[in-house]
Amino acid sequence: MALALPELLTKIFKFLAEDKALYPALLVSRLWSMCSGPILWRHIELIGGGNAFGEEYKIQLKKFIKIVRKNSRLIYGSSVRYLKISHYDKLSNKVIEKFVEIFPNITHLDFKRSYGYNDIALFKISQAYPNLIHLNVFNNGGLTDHSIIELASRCPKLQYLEISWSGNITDKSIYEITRSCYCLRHLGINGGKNCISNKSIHEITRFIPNIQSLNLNYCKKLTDTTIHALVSSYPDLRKLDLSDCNKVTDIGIRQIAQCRNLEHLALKSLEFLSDETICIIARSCPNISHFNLEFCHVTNIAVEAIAQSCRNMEYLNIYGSESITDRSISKLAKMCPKIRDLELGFCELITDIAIRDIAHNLSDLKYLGLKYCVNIGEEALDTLNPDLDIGGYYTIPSTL
Amino acid sequence: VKLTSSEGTEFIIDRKVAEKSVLLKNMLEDVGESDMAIPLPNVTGPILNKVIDYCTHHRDDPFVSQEDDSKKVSDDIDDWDAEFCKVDQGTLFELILSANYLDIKPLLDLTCKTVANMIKGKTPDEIRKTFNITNDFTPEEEEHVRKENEWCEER
Repeated sequence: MALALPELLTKIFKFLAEDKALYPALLVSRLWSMCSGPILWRHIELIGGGNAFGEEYKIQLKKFIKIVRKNSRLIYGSSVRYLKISHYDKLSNKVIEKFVEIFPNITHLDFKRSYGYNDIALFKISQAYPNLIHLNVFNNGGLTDHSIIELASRCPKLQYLEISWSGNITDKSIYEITRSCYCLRHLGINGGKNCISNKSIHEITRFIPNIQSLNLNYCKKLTDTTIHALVSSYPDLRKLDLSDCNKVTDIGIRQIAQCRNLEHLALKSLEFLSDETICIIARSCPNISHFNLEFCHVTNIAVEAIAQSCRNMEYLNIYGSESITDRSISKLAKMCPKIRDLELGFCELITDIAIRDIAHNLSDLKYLGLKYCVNIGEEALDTLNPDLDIGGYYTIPSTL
Repeated sequence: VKLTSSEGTEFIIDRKVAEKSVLLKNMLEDVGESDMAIPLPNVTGPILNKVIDYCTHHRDDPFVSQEDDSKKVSDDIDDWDAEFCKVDQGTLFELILSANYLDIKPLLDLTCKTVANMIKGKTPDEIRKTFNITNDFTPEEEEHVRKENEWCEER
């Protein structure tokens, strides 16, 4: 009988896992448990605080942490490969030590925006997982060079490393990373107190050949020569974040146009950006689907160039572009039908005309930011999809 | 192409239909065209008949590779396929085994999805009743599994 063969049972269970309906199978019999447990435990994603995510996530995480704390062995502990616990503020060294003890085969660890642990936990992780491929400690805040250097030297197979805002990280860490982790495809090392220097970026381009994604947000020491080194070393770059790198100039940013396969580009708060530069980048990089130009004060000319060239746009942020009018937004709505997320906060000249064109053309839209868009009437908003999340909109009484 | 089922019944089908099965495709490539019937001792006549029905209906579908697992959701079954799977449990399980043996991925996916849909929404007890499975857990074991996996309930 087919249901007695583990191989076929596993295949059936994978369909159930996709529908989040696998749990009851665990309790049917020993064989069923043996086949469903590893699927349920292989890939674990849990979210902590933040009310945006809802109470049930918190409860799930609490139950999970409790089981981990109480046991030194779990039936399916060795099945865990991928563990993500994000937005959790009580992720202590002790808990991470238990993870290391109970889950010996982890290759992907993601603690994005979780904190409570420090170098001690990262030392344990480095020692326990020589085969680690993916590590995200974004926004931990408590790490130093000591643990990052240990990590880099012990985990040479890392392909994804995100240590932005993770603490007091200096060029010393970058030096060790470039000497050990040459398989890296993503590296996130944004700023903080000790900004990464030009020299470090040159080390990266010298030793790590296959970078596809770089997060250099807030690296305030970077200059135009570094950007030149980056784009000439990585012409195939897919993601780049240079937000707040305000020592770079307009001419420096323009060189990004050489990376013709770019998909994600963030240039937030680079107020010096000229229309010409944005037009050149938009025309050269037609695959850009995520473009963050918050606080860049872009104009109609730039937005029209983006609409004309980047037809696959899904996320566009032009928050604070005061001179934008209906003309360019209408064009954007008509030319880029895949937009899901559009931030137009403080684009105060926009009126009902643009909103109607958005309502007509952007059927995939999930979020629309309209903070201080004071020339938009509430009736126009009624033309939008009722499920759409509208951010920041308020009306000012007409008597003012 | 000639095939013989486990009871010795002979079936004659188009090569294109036979090639839906990776097992037969590889055999035909190795041996080349021949008048000899290919024996399939693991498949009975009625089941082979069903399998041929399926392969004939889907003869022009593009080939799906082993790795392509993008369509994992269990509710995207079209009407013909749903009708095809309206058989008794015994037949359904034999179809799964045959699809697995003959290496016909779309048929294996379809039949496994059908079983997945039979499991969906049931309690462990109802599942046992549906498939006639005995609960071989000791009460302690069952409690242990339940405790460790409590957090998976919503997953």
